[in-house]
Amino acid sequence: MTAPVLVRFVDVGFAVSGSVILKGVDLTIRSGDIIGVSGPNGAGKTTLLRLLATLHRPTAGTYSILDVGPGCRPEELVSARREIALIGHAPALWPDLTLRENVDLVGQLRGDPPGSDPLEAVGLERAAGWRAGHASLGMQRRVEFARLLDRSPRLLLLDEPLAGLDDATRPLVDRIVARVADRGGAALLVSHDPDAVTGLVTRRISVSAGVVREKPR
Amino acid sequence: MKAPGLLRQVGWVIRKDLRVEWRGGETVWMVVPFAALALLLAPLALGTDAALLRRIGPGMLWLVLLLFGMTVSLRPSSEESRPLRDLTALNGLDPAARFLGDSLSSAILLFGVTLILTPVMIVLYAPEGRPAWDWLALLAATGAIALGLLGSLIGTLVTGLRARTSLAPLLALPPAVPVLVATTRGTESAIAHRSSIPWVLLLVAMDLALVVTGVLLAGPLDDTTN
Repeated sequence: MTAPVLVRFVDVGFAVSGSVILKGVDLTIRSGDIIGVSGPNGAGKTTLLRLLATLHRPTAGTYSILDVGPGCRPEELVSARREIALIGHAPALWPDLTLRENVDLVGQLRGDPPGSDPLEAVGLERAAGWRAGHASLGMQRRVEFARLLDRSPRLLLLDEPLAGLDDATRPLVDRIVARVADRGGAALLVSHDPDAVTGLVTRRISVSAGVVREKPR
Repeated sequence: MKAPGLLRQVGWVIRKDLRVEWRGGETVWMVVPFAALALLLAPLALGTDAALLRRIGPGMLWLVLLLFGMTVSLRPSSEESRPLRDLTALNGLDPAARFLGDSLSSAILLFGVTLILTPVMIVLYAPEGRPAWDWLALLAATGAIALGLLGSLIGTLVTGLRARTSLAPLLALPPAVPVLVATTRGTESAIAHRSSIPWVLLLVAMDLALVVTGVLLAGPLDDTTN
């Protein structure tokens, strides 16, 4: 039996002010997929991630992301977005707030009940009172992963997930990715270095000059 | 887990904005002293013509509040970075809740600034007046809400634009005129211990019009800026 389809792109393209960023993207992502995405700088990897996160709308082709497609109702889009997690290459933290507040605020926005301390799980319990703007890049990345510990998104999108992380924290990324796939979700891990992404990947695709190609296993 | 409703999301944005402002302290440490200084400098420049000062005092107060209100609403810390906007969108924040929350947090800050500056204006420009403080408080609240909504609406329109800071005043000018007229004339009436009800009602109407406009535009504009 084939796994359920979470994302289907058919001949999808994306252009800004007449400049084509991605073209002819045919991509199907199924439950359990862990996809490594590689390609040189400026190839369109981050744009692909933003399209999958519903943060950009394709300008060509047809698509379905977690059952949301063109012309969906706003509440359907909000509902689908809550099942997508994106960690971009720039940390999404309020610099004037503490690391603890940065974790708690997102939980409150989602309406999640308070659970175990996620900062303890990523080894940041003693730095919980630091302002995010004063924390190192590695600590900021760990806070972003801490936010994912109590949830299981259906689509996990990671842009250069290992950037700034020390060796001791990398297994945490593997654990989160594996859990998402085990629970019926899928993960995309983007890196300019194909060897840098986790060894868990089940498929590899490359992006070059706006063209997406599946790589043989 | 179901997403919190619109009102709870608005409350979330207000709490977050005020916490960020409390830590950054831009309004308290920058806006209030400079606004008070601007009010102080005008009488020094114009001399001791009491009748002239009494006439221009309310207009000076609300002109200063309008300028600094726009500064509060368009301050760098009020515009979140792209990753933070992505984060809140992906965690279910309704664009309308973002607009209303940003507006009300700015209004709360502006209300505080107005409560500080109004007595300063009365002491400097109309010390012999018998102000109706209840009307002044009502004007401060409705005026601050109007300025907060106006600033957030303009901020939403110009988000991400390169000419953000120069475009914002041009866009703010037409809707700012009725707000400035209503607050100024209402304050004149309140200082003379007369009812300011027509001006308060005009401000309430402006507040409602800005709420409706902002809520309707929040979704489409958010998609554009994304």
